[in-house]
Amino acid sequence: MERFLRCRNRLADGVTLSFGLMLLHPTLGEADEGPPFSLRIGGFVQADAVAYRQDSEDQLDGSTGQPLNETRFVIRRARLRAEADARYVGGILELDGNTVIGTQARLLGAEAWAQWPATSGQAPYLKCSVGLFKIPFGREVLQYDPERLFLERSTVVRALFPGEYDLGVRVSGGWRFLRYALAVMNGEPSGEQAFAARDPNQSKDLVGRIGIDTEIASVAHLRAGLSGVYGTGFASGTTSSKDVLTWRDDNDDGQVQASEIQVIRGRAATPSQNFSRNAIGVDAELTFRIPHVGELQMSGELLWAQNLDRGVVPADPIASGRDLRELGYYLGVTQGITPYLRVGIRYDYYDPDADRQEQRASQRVPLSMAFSSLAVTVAVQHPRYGRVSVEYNNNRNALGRTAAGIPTTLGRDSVVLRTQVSF
Amino acid sequence: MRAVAWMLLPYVFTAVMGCEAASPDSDLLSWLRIDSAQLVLGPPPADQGGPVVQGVTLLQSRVWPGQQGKPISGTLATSATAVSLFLVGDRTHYILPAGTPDITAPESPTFVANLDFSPLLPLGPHQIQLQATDETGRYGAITAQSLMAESEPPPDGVLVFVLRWERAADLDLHVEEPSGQEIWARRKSGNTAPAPGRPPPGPNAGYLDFDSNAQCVIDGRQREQVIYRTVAPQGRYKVRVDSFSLCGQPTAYWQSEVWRHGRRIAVVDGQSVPSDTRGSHTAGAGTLALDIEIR
Repeated sequence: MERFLRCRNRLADGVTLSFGLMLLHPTLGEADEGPPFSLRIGGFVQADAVAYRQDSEDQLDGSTGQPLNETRFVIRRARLRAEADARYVGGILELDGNTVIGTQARLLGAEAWAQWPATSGQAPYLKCSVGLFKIPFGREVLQYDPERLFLERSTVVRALFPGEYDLGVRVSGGWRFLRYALAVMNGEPSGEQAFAARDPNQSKDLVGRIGIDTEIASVAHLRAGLSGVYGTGFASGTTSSKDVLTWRDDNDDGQVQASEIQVIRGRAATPSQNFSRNAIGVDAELTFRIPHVGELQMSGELLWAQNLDRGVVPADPIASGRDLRELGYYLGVTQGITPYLRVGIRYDYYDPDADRQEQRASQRVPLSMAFSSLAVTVAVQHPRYGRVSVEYNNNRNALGRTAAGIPTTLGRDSVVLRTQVSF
Repeated sequence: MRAVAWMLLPYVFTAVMGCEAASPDSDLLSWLRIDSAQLVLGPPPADQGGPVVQGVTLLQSRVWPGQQGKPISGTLATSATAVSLFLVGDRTHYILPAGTPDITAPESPTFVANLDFSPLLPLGPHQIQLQATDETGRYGAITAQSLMAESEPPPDGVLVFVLRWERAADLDLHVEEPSGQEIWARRKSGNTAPAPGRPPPGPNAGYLDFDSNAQCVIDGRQREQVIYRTVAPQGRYKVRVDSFSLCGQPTAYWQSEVWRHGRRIAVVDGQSVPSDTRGSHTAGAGTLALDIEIR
């Protein structure tokens, strides 16, 4: 038994149990110097205090019955992650709890994988995964939440890849500085509004990323990539309806007149339809290690998409009668000042419909429905155990109206204090 | 002092950065509410030389607190891009973008809106002011329309039992007459229940006027009345409140009243909770709200 239990390490960022499976699989053990089996358990908690939210109000949303107040304490993410690694095969299980819409717990990720060769700490040539895992697209989707200084992902990423996780099968790997990933997925991410983590159509989405990950002259690190997704969306049909008799008091006299009674005839159900959707994106992250100061990191991502919004303004080209072209990007800079202080600023922009128009008096004019935000974040941190950060978010949109009736920003600025602990 | 300044810094920053944004406030605290219009806190400015409102169509000047969907429409001067609507004394006014011109006046933008009024709208005379605005945001001259907020008339009858509640729940009024006969949703008349769509029974019988929110099909009325129009039997009446379903609401507060010759002679308040929905919902069901002798 003692030989079987070869080593047992407790790391600060998780608990790792390593077992001497070499006795059972001696040939596998020759391929790598790492432990033959390891089980690592870790996680993190992000607890927010929303100090100010411009659109908070002590009322309920008339359509949903949900509170309009967002000035509150909230557990944004409480994650528990277990990783089993038997060198050639392994698995990941990730659970999430939060209080965003009441207390809830859910399966976030569940993945089984096999790889070759059984390398440790570097990308294998080939790794095959099946299950529920992050969509291999771009930079922010794949970013581990505790590593991100900014509290939430940019609007365009939340719109196109809500929830970040989806079900499917993936091949990924790398050679030297090259990285690749290709996945066939359901196309309904876990944060999608209608069919989250399910799939209403038989077509699958093809998602992939090819990129580089390399050191530059030992003072900088560059990650960059080109991503794409091509798939099929689903526009729900309608159920059949019954005949309805309605009365509308057109002349506001409180009396029923024959002309005010209308018969709305029942209608047969309409079938659901599929539609094509796609996206392409480029991303880059450049990190400089500045001596005696800290890391300077610059990052950005640019995405073009068509009919892919599944989170912010869900795209339905069947209902709208035309394709919806989406465009978004973000640019962010963070600077470490000693290992214990980090500041950052990020601007992001997202237009969910580049061809939107509206009627103004007698004219049909283009309308920008773009969302943009400027996030400024300051964090005090311990590099391994967690951080306390405060972020101001200045949001702009086209949801309000000026006195002239022209679209303007509906106030949604916020100040949030976040405490994050990793274990 | 320095620590306080640092704590206030985010708010100052927010106030500066977000000051030009449109108000995200909901209209629930306002007397006047207009769907799809931009709410602006405070009254509109006075005439700034902007365009004028050419015409307003408001079919009835009478409104009642809680009224929904009162139609209003009109035409604006050619240069107008929106119209402001303000109920004098209210905490907010609204900006409604101008719509397409009517075929009869192709140079004049139009507007159409449905006005909703808060249940808290004070009774009495009111005035709604309309001002057109142009693309620079200048407000034009005020065009005023008079409104009269009236309460719904008191129950009409020599004896009326009223049950009203404030949530979208399905509560039922049960009135047990001195004879022991009970009037409620399944037996709407003291004599014989009228067939669906038929007029109420004769003047000597009490009847239930409406089964509100029946089967949780929410009609918003939330009031039921048992009415004796000309004659009411003398003796002891029992009024019960049956909580058929709270329709997903955590609770419902209700009020039961008795009106005799247009004068309220008794009132009692109560609360329905989920446990009240258990058991049968037939004759004799419900919480006893009133036990009253009528002479």
